[in-house]
Amino acid sequence: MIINNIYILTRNEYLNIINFIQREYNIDISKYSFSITKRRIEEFLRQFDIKNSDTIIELLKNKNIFERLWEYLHVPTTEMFRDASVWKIFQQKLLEKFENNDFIKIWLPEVTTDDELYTTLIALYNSRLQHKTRITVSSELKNEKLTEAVISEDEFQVALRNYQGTKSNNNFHNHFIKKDNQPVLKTEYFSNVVFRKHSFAKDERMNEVFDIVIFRNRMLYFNPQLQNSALTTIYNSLAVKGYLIIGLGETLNNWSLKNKFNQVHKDANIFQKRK
Amino acid sequence: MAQKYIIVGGSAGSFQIILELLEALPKNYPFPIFLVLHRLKNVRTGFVEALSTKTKIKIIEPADKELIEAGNIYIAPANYHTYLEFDNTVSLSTEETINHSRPSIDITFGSAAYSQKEKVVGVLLSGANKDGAEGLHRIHQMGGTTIVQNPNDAKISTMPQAAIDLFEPTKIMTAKEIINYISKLHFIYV
Repeated sequence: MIINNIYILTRNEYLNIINFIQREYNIDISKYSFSITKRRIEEFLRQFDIKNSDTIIELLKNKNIFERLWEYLHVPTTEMFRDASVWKIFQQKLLEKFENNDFIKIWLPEVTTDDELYTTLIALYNSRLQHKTRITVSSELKNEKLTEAVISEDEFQVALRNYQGTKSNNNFHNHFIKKDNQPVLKTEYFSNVVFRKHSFAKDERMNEVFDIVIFRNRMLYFNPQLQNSALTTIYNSLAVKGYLIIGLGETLNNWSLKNKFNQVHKDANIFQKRK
Repeated sequence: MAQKYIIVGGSAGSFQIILELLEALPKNYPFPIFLVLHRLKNVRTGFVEALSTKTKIKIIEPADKELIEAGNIYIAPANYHTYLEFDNTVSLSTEETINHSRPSIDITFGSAAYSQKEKVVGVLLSGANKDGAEGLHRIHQMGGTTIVQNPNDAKISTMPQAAIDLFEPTKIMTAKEIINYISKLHFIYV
């Protein structure tokens, strides 16, 4: 059905597409949030002339087109220092608890855009803990390009406004250099960052223990079952008394192990793993 | 009782109408009402509280995958898009802004039209951009009821006018008529 020039998939057409992708590429899209995934497939298909669902399957047989779709299905996280109040607590209250540790291990799962990583790096520099922190960034996609830290002027202005809400003492501009007149996050910030390929959908383990897991606004794109198993994987990779930070619109309420966490900052959705 | 989902989209010039609607709703109103209002992304606290002073009905800012239940009022959280799913839960997303808006009224209208079809009553109020028109059109095409505030009655006519330019809605009403219609809807759908 075509409404306002968009091909709207019926449930059967959607099922046919995800079955095809499962067979052809061994990727199970049924584990992702239904309405969001469906709409993004429809939006992606706008650039093509779609007459019926057979033409969609024909298109997706082209590996390049499929890979572009697969990347498009990984939703960005909007802006640096999104929810300034959370980052204020992260910088001023949470990182403070690690000041006497020899080493801090942070995991950012399912990172597909730069915002949360850059925000974390800047917060660590502000807290002077960067030299003893290792950050593991994982994704289903190749994500090494996240070190090309060029930020558009618009993004920079939004980030700057958000940053002011964190009440940090350090000047935001100090974290950047200018390259071809565009702000670029300093290269040395990435010296303790490790990129890894990891998929929750394939139920892969991490075999590592972290002190902090920053998993904000990423499980929104999972269905409830995948949310559950992803949280369990994180639980198993988190040190006792370690911290889990989720998005302000997210909850642990539907998760079978939610009682194994205490919420330490209600307004920031920061949880601590119990003994 | 026939189940209905009432979804109200509003932007600049609609806040006062929302307050009056909340005041007019009876305590045991049987349908869920979903408010998708363009609001400041950084102002999280106080909004639900301000609305709650106007009604005895519980106002909830839903979390991702939260179940929508009859008799509550839901308000789309700031800086997220809100989808309504087949299983009566919501899904939140941080996708790109649409018509410079997040929450996008189009997304909530469009997903509700798809999952709830003729059960949806979509209402589009005053606003300064074109968000909501396409989504309301989808509600119309999926058999739902569509109500647009009369542009002459709206503080800012752009948003309701965009919908009227796109298709013929079920009803075009003044704010007062819309409030009256929604608050008595349970007498029609018994």
